[in-house]
Amino acid sequence: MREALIRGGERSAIAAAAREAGWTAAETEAALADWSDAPGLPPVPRPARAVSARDAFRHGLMFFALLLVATHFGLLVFALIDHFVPDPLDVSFGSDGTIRWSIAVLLVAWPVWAVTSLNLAREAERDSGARRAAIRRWMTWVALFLAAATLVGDAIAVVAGFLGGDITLRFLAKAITVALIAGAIFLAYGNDRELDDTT
Amino acid sequence: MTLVRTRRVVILSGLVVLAAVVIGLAVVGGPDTGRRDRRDAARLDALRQIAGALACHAASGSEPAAPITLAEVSPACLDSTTARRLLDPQTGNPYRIDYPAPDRARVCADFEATMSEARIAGWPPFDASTGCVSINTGRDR
Repeated sequence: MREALIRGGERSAIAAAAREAGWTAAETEAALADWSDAPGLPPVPRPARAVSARDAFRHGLMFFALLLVATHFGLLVFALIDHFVPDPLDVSFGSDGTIRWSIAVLLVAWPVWAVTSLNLAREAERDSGARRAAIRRWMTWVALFLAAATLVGDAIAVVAGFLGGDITLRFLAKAITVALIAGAIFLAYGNDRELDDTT
Repeated sequence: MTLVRTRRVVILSGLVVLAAVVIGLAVVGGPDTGRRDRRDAARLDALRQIAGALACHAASGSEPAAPITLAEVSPACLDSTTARRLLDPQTGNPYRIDYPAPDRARVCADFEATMSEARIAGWPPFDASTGCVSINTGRDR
């Protein structure tokens, strides 16, 4: 693309030639969008989405904390449902240990997630280049993938529970809890994905 | 997420997590309650170990026929190191051993809280109302 642009080719002609060579419209558009025209200068590259170790650490920490918060918030609510909605067929050992462990995780992981999220958002507000970090896009899509996978798994569990005669109040409350957590992540980070796609 | 949106999400999630943590703590109690539960769990575990040792003592025909202290239990059924450890974790007193029937042994402790059915399930059976684990020794004194 760069060579074609340097030689003074029209973008529309280059795009037509690329499509003729088997490129898709999206690939052609993306490849051309990587170069900016400046009068009297060769094509200038647009900023690339870079992956730095610092970005990987900060975004990795933020999403790891998010994963812990989402998982243990769910486990805590499950244990509370077990406590408040007893099932005579349940012979498990009790949920006090789960409640204590999940509270411990939340008390540590939620502040980590909150601080890293706020710091990253502040940095993205100051410098739009931060929004282009490749690791950020990957982590956002991973979060969305996990949320979508959880929703699909939740739906499967509801159907399986129905077929197995296990549609109790306790089971439905747990299914709704999982759906709410996954839905909240989808809502929060789905909006991020739209912003990323436009930058 | 934009900074404003992130702030909103952080505040909202913080309130939800805080509510869940407060309810969770209300259900299980604080560190004192946790310690109390662990002491009770240790008591129940000790009672069951002692009951097992009494059953072993009776099955092996050891003397005395009705030991009321761990020192009297056959070393083959309960070694002295384990016996020294089987004391009430709070008071340090030995657990009470008695025989409500000629072929029945009972070992009891003072529990601090009521334990759930799921927590006391197991063998030998535990009677929460008396705080005792009972076994059939199969041996008339």
